[in-house]
Amino acid sequence: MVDVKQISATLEKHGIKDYDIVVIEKRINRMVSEFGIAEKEAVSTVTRDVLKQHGVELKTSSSSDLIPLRDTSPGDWVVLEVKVVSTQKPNSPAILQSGILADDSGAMGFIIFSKGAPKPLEEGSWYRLEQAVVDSYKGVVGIKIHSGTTIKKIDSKPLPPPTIVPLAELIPGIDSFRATMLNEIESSSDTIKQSGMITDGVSVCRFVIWASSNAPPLEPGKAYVFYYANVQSYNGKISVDLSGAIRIEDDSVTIDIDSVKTDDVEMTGVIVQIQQGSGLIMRCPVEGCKRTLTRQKFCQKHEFQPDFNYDLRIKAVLDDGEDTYSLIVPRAVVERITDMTLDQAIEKAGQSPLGAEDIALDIQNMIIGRYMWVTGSMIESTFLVRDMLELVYDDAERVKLLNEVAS
Amino acid sequence: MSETYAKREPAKRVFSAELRLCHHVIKGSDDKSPSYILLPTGGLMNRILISGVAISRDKMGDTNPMYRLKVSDKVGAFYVTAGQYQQNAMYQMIKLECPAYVTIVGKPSVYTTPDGKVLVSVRAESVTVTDKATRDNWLVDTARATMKRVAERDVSEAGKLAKQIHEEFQPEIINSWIEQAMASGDSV
Repeated sequence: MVDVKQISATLEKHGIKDYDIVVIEKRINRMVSEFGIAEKEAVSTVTRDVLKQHGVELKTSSSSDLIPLRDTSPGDWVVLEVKVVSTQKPNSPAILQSGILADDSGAMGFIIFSKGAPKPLEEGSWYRLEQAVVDSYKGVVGIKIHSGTTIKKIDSKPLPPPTIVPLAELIPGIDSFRATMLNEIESSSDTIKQSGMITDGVSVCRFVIWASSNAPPLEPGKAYVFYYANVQSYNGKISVDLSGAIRIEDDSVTIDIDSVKTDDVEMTGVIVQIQQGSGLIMRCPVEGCKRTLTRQKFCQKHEFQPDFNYDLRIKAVLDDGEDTYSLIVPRAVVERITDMTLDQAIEKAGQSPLGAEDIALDIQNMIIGRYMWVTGSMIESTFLVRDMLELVYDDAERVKLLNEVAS
Repeated sequence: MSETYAKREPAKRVFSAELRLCHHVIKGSDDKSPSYILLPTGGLMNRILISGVAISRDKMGDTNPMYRLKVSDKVGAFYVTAGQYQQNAMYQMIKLECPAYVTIVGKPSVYTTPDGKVLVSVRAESVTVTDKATRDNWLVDTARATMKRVAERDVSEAGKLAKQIHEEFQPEIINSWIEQAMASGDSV
């Protein structure tokens, strides 16, 4: 419900009396319902517009008002009162210091630029920052402290412990969660101290600890609570940087690793759907990039690639009557299951104007509705198939059932 | 490429004889949430998996034609439809030469006629020609799934509801369904 009283109050505060609140409310509702604009945003825009019509220009940012971290938006110049919960030595010479700030509304990463920089912040201290800038980098919102920022040490304020969230709800930013290490992944890189997967008993995600940090590696079998971990998006999947996070061993909780499905899962079900992006696909030829190109041969990272590489894969849904699973079937398995090599598929596709679609249709007719046995690794409800075979019918099952029913 | 936010509903394994007994629909809380058909054995069905022999095909209507396939699963028969909004399934139906082993994934629906008669049919999402082995795998799969639903009928939410709504349903009847399904020989 739109708060008309507050809008009226705002308008009258600026000496405006001749406005039609019904029309204003209609405009706001229209923005929200037809254009999907957040109500707060719509109210602000329409109010500002009415004020403008009456010759009142609002300051674009309330730069003298203290704002909680949670209410900041990219582009704002803000006043904050925050605690420095962790600091890190950055890799780049342009950056003096990076780390994480928190207040009672949430936590956010910060960077201090080297150029004309103020002194680095002390871990554990509270500061009042004025003229800090909020910006967004790679989808993550952060605070930028620069030569124009005023920094003042202040007395500590109460800071409640951050909310623990399930791993399934992590989004890029700063978060706190409970987890135990699921497995370690060997890294050939010297910059990584430890990396692998963690789980909270329900879902899994990748983690990394950088060699440059003081954080010790995780020990298997131990349950931890991580506060203020850096959550990032890596190749479309969530990955957490535990290097700067505050870590506490939590003996009170046992996380059941076995309930989380990971490597070497085997299951049987029926293929009920072949999804878009199956059959003959195009991949980016740039070294190290294997991204699927769009129909117009566009790579998300490397833009247009007319000299693409072909590949064959299937994205399908396996259904066992109780649950459904998204399968990704790689080229070797597709070739065996369809008895068609990539080269044969390319040739066949070349013979008709919508050739690649024909290939997808052929695959559909070959495997939909059939019982398949699959094995592979399951990561976050996506099944990477290592092998897939049609389930052979075993008549012994029929006889067994007849006996069961007769008794 | 589409991102699905709601997880896809699994396809229930149900014999034609059981589908014939369905009449109760549980609608979702709003327009967007799925509706479910209550299974007498105790389960909620939004999607169904059928495998059997397509015996005959009828064309219904002229301007917006709809095709109806009669499919036998050894226990009885399903009526499966596909029209202009199920184009791929409709094409597959038209291409079929009956009799043929088919597997169908679709949405079951319950329709009550103005004079109170209940008709159950399945709107196909996919119709694929498979083979006897697939049909036989389905018979075993469906027998087991049906037995499991009955075993949990006293404790599952859907089971308890089924006991209320399908008061007259005797769970032992599934034994005769399974006997028919498991009988050897190719009797369709």
